[in-house]
Amino acid sequence: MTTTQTTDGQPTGPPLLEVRDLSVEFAAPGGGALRAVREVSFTLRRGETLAVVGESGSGKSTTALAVLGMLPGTGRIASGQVLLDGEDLVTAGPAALRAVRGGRIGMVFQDPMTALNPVLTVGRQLDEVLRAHGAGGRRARTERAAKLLDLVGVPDPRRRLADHPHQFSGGQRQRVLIAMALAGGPDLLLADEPTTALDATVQDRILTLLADVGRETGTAVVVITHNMGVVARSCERVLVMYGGSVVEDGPTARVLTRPSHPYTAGLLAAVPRLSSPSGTRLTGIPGAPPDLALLGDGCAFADRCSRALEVCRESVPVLLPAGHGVRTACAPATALEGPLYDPAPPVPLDRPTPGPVVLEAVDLVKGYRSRRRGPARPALDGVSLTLAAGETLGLVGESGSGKSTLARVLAHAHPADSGTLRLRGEDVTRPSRAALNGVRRQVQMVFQDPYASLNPRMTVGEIVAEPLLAFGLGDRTARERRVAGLLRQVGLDPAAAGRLPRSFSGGQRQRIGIARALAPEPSVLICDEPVSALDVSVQAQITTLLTDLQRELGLALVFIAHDLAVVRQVSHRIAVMHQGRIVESGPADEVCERPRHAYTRALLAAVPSPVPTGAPPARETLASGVGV
Amino acid sequence: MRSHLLRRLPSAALVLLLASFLVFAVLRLVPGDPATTLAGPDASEATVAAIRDRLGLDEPLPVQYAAWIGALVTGDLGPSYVIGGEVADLIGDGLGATVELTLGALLFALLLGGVLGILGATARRGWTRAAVRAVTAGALAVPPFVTGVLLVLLFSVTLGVLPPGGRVPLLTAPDLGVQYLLLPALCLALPSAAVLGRYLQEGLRQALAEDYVLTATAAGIAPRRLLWRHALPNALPPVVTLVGIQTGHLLGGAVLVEAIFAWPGLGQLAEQALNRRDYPVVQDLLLLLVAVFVVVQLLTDLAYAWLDPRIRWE
Repeated sequence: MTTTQTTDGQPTGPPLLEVRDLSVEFAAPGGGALRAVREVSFTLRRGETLAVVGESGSGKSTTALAVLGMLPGTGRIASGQVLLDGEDLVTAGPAALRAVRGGRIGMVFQDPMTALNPVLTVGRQLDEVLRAHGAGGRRARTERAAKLLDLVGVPDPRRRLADHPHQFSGGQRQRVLIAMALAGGPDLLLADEPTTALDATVQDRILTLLADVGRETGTAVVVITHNMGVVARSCERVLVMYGGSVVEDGPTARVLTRPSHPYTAGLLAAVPRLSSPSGTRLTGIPGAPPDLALLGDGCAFADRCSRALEVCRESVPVLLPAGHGVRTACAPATALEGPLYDPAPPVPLDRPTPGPVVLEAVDLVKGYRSRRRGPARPALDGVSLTLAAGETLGLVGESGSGKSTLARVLAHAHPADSGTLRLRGEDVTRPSRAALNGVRRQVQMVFQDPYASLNPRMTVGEIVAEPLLAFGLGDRTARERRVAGLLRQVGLDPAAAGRLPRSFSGGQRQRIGIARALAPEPSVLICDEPVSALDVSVQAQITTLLTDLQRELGLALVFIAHDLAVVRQVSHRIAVMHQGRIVESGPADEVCERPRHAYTRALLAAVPSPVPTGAPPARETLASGVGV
Repeated sequence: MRSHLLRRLPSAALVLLLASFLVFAVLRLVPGDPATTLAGPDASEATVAAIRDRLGLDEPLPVQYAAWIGALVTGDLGPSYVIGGEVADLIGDGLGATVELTLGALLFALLLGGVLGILGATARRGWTRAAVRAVTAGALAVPPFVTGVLLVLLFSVTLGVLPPGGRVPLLTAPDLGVQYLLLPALCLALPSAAVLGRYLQEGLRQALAEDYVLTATAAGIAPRRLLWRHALPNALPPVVTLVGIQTGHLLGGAVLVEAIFAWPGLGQLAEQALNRRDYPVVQDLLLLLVAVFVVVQLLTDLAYAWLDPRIRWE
């Protein structure tokens, strides 16, 4: 491994990577060009850690792929240079690029479940990279592969080399992928959303690993993320991207506390804080992330910016020094004297006190048949809960804890193996075929993925009207009137009914999903990770909508999420699930401030805070069974 | 691996048993029987009855079935009713030729299908992809009796490089045998090659778009290796299933191709035996076909488990 310690210990040596005016274009469906990255420039020195933060469509991943010459589909570098130690990668040939990929720049992708080849052993996949970058004979390579697994903290590395990816947990797979990225002894490690697909407690350890590896091997680390907590946690410097451009670039400590671009400020304000008490309104940025196809001249953020001036819409702002090592692409903000970012006092939500109990579950058990031998632990192992009208129950836990199974059992999508379900005091555990329809009408679901949960071939009107049709409610004209009303209720133009889901953004699609759930006038709404797939800046719009609807309609809400900070703000009560059981439940503030169960404490400790700290936050060790 | 096989044995045995019922019953539902064929059109009722009695055709059906199966499991295929000679000898004579033809065709189908699939999935030039599409569509659409004639016209009549029909056993004279085998095998293989090519192409396209290929690309792995080591093993399982099914098609299709190329295989025997209601020959032939199919399916399952470690571990 090449050690790349800077001579004086300061990151001031010659740049390792210098990106100059990089622009990336894709062929647009209409025949024109779609600019995904617009004149991005930044430099990275040896051993430096840099976070690239932005929301969907900001161009952060495209920039990374462009650096490696791996743009997908019709993507091409329209202009600019990517200088690695002075050598331009944009003009490099295929062989030279292959030597750079894995050899000089290692890359880690988002989803560890799909990023490893399922039919090859982990040892083979590591060996392949080692061989591609000339790491000696077979025995030496095996030795090195075992060392790499050991370095990234996979126990018993020599034996695990012979295992296939499916024999590793998600966190371990991400470790293996980091080992693969390090195998060629790169000077730079590019990690694209390395922890987004992982549970919070696992995420924390992977970030620690990345930081440790960077320090130990002298490798520069670039972490691409949408999560401000990850930025604060792992990087010295941060690059904020929006609409394909860099809008702010500076030391993390400065940017996260005194942002100098309105978008950075808005994004920071939108990040839910674990310290915000239950019943406070989430802050968001109005509007939706820009549609790159419609992006004209001028600042991409101008349409969502409260400080936008005429000049902002006329020319693309350039990055200008704003003091304290920060560069920012906002003329009005640079001219401003005082701080741009003013942590607003929490706005309490106007919400009535919950009414009588609507839904009650006692001792629910649900197991899935396993093809593997041996008794499987049931997905739900004796879960009891109550839900009152106008109340929000937050349900938190990591993947596999049984949250989604519970949601499905409560909504009568799956029958429970045993236990009792009561709706308004009436036993509905095993309803008759006729009664089942009534129960399903009362309990509706909102799903996580606004892209997968709407049939792309149905119009919005058909989607929203479907439950009405299924439950036989109203005739054609009555249904049309109701659909228009529902769309208005969730903040959409009733004219949307005639269009297909693909012409809507993620946040708008989630509104459509909510309208569909509300159609049969349910009394209980089960929201399974309703904001997890959305950008931070639009999360608030959906949670606000849900609480508004709750107040108007007296809905009982089950709000399932893995983000404790969001859950605390929107929920009256929180139930923590672990291994099919509710291990702790109580008032939201109580659970978050005085957690009683060790698992709750571990979850709380793992929430990354967007506030930079000098030292890494203290971490709890976890009970066995939830390890990486 | 062994338990994997053992678990599938009962269902294989059941398939064979059901097939034997079906084969036995269907033959007897078809009008006419061996006795009338043997006796000829002008024979008296008494003659036919006498022949029936001799062949045991007047026994109750279950008894006839039991006699057939009982003899079969001891390895005794018995005599042919109408064609003459032992069934085992009749089948034995044609079996070599049909197996040779089917295996030759299978080899062709795999090679051609592989080339078409890989070219179709990796070609960057538009016209290469278009050519692959055209060849595939053509091979699928044109029936063997047309391709057979075209192949004979081109290679035997016009170019005069390959014989238009007949067979020299491959094992006795390999160089000559190959010349005789090439045309019928190619003719039989074309539709299967097209189907396999289509599936492989689609599988490869999907596999090449997977995240693990992206990971390997980012690690500096060469494109050739991405295709052969990463994409291909992941694209193969559905293709392997299809190879199993296509093997059955090839065996069935052989009957037709044998007729076109005067290939002395089981196809001709089957046709003769069916026309003349030679019960034992037809029954044993069909059951043999089913048995081959069952074995191929077992092999497919094994190949599947060998290709995909996730199945191996379950």
